[in-house]
Amino acid sequence: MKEEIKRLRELALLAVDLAFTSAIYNLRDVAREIMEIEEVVDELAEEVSRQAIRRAIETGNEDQALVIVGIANALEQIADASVRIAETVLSGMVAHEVLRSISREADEWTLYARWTGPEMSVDQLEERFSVVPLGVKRGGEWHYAPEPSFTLRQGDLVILKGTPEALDDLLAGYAETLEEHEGE
Amino acid sequence: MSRRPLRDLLLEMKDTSEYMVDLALTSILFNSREMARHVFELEEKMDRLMVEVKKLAMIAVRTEEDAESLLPILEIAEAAEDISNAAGDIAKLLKYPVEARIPLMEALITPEDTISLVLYPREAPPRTVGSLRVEDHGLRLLALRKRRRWIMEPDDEVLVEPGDLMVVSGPEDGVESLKKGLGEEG
Repeated sequence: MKEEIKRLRELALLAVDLAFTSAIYNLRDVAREIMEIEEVVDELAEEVSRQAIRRAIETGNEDQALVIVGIANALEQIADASVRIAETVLSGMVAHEVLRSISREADEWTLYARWTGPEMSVDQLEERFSVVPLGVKRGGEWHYAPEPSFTLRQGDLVILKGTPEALDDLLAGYAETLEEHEGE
Repeated sequence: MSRRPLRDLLLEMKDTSEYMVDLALTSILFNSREMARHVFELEEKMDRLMVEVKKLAMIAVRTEEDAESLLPILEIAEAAEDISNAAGDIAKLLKYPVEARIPLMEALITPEDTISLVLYPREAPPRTVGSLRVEDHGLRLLALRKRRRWIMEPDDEVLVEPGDLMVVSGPEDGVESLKKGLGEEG
């Protein structure tokens, strides 16, 4: 059950980041992906709750079940909020100008860019630049939350999360911004 | 005219909601009622911000075009509020006895966990939060534990003193480089 809760948390938080990214850069394909992530979150949340209830029936400790059901519901709610953001993108509402205008001042931000630097693993990227890749698009396909050993190559499209300062460092020679457009 | 404050409000709502989720999960992990209480305070602040956003949006709308351009802003603000409510629900889980929360606490600890504790070295001179430039290490300072109290989201001017505990979120490498930086200057 622990593994499922971890996965649930990862996916719900990934959904939020991707949702904001889709709205900032007007990325319809990323927005569509959030719908799928939300479905997985729903299923996982139900599964985790079911396991917790089953365990409570065996052990008689209902508080433990309430805690697990509580976290599962909260994370599901977070994924639902992401869908709400993604839906603005899919329905053609345009918020990216305002969102981009606040990007410089946010605590953390996401950058959608083309990788132009040398080959670099996710691990190295995190170590050198303190940014976390949320997704990499290669050959027309998105890979979300890439493994530490995943290696970025020139031409990959990437979604990176970090402080505005850290993202700026990457734009000096490692990545170039893209004009917002509909996903290829 | 009204555009400028609206964007500021949206920025604050986005930042606050993300911070709240971090803080709520951390409150579970550290069994900290003070952190949870701060989440509840921020939940109220988010409610107030949402009302402000709605008011400004209503004032700004003169044409259908205005309305269309403001709709997604309202939606995103509401989504941020939804996220903050979820964070509040997470912090509320502290009301259950700690034994009931242990499985969740275990599940929240991940190998590359995003939350770390950094002790400000005893031999280092006191410095302000701003001068530590925690963000240069890709980290966020969530809270500062002073001898007798917690300071949540400490401002740049707050003094960090030897023995203070910093609660930071971000990659482990960033934590290592921050620790190294503190040690060298200490």
